[in-house]
Amino acid sequence: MKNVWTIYRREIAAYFNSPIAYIIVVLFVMILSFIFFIINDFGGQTQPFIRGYFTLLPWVFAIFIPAVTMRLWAEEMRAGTIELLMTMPIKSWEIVVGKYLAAYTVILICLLFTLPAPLLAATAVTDVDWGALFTTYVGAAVIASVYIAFGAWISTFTHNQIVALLVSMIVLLVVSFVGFPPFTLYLNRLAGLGNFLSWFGTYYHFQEFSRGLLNPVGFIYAGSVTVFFLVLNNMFVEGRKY
Amino acid sequence: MIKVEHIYKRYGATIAVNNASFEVKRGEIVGFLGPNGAGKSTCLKIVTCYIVADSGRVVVDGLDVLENSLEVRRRIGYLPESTPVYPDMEVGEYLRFMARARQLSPAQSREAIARVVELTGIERMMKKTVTHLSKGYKQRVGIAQSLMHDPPVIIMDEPTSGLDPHQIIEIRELIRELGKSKVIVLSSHILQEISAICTRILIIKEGRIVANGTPAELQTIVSDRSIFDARLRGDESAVGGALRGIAGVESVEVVAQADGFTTYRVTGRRTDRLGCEIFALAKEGGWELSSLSPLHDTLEDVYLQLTARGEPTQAA
Repeated sequence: MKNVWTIYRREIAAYFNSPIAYIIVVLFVMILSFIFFIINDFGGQTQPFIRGYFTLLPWVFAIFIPAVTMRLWAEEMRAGTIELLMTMPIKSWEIVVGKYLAAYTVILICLLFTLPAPLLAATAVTDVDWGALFTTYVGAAVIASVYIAFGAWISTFTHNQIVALLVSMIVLLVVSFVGFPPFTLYLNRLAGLGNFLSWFGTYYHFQEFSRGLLNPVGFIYAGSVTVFFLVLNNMFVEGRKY
Repeated sequence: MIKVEHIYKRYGATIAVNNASFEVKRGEIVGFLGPNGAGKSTCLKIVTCYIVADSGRVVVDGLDVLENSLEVRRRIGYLPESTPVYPDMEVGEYLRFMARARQLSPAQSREAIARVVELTGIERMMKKTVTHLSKGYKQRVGIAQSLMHDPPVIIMDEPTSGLDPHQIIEIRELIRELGKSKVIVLSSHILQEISAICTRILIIKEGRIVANGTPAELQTIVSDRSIFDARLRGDESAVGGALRGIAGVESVEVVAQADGFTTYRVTGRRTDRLGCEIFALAKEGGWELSSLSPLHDTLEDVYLQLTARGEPTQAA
């Protein structure tokens, strides 16, 4: 555990030693606020305003989270520091977990900075559904884990951060699209698989959370997908030795 | 301390290391010498647990690199080729991270950092970002990192490449100093470097170890020629003819003439008798012989001979 902490601290320092983390946080909050204030009719909303803020969140994640995870392994391979890291007396899974947690922290910071907007909006409407606000944030944090674990794994494929970024984006946009209601309906009509497939995407699970439900299925989905990709990540990192 | 037995490593169609075996004992500074791409780095990477050999066995301090990888890594300080460092970190921050990665306690880490910083002379650089360091200082930071946990074994891949002559001398002195208490294995494609620091040389070519010995041993083991410089006074054509007449002599050339003496360089097949034969001829012919000295192939000749392209490789 101590080694995970060591790696975690190093990764956090790497994010905040460069302007990258700050740029991501600012852009993330700006884009979500833009969606909130412009696309949704801010003044005319009452109850479900928070959903408006986060409707597009799965896609925003699909674009932003790869920007956070792209450097995790690609940069170590480009700079050659992977050779230092892998010859330290640290197990590879400790490095995998440390890196994952650091990226997760950056995303949680992004989410934290989105809070002022709904809180500000809450002053303009009466009868705020604080529970739904809470579960929406929980849901955002839960599905973020899927994106991060996947993006981290993709980053082990290449020395080039941009390649990692784009590949992760493409796949994650698809993953976010699976379970999007119009698409699900279309698939149902086509082959009857829409409802089944929607379980694999993030959209369906996130929607459950933003309805105010803490559905265990959502946690199980995100937890198992995260573990799956972290294990894969570890296998790929170990596999570089052979 | 390090025992490598019959390791073999292949990358796709290329055989990087082909049945290499060697041993490094306490108190040795061993140099891997070979042209670029000969398999030096691959050998070092296998010993440091960065990559795994396809077959063969590597034991460091009695521990197998596959079975006790973490323990082996604890015993090794490693400076990878071209000294990778985290460019975004300050030197002090980087060293603290490395100390933590080595699982040193905060107190141990302070002490270790003070020690390695003094040893490598980077006190004034602690607040600088690694990106802004000169190549020489970057190299020192890399070495400082490798010494952090006071390892019994230090492995350095091309420790002086890209440095200027002053820096090279400094780093060499540091390595010599470290060699007094530690086992050091380093690699280089520069012969002078290896012969200046190392107590033993391994010459590697196309993944095979083609020679293994002290610098002096290598000169004699591999050389297939005997060469003598004979300084004689006598009739030049008679002397030259007589020297050429010795069995096995391939060439006789005049290399110097002064004070009535002529120095002939006699090169022949490797034999212990060449000196005796020249002396006997001088006595017989009544020539004055002022000096008779054996010459060796230089280490450079040996190296070039062993690593020449296209020649059949001598078995390791």
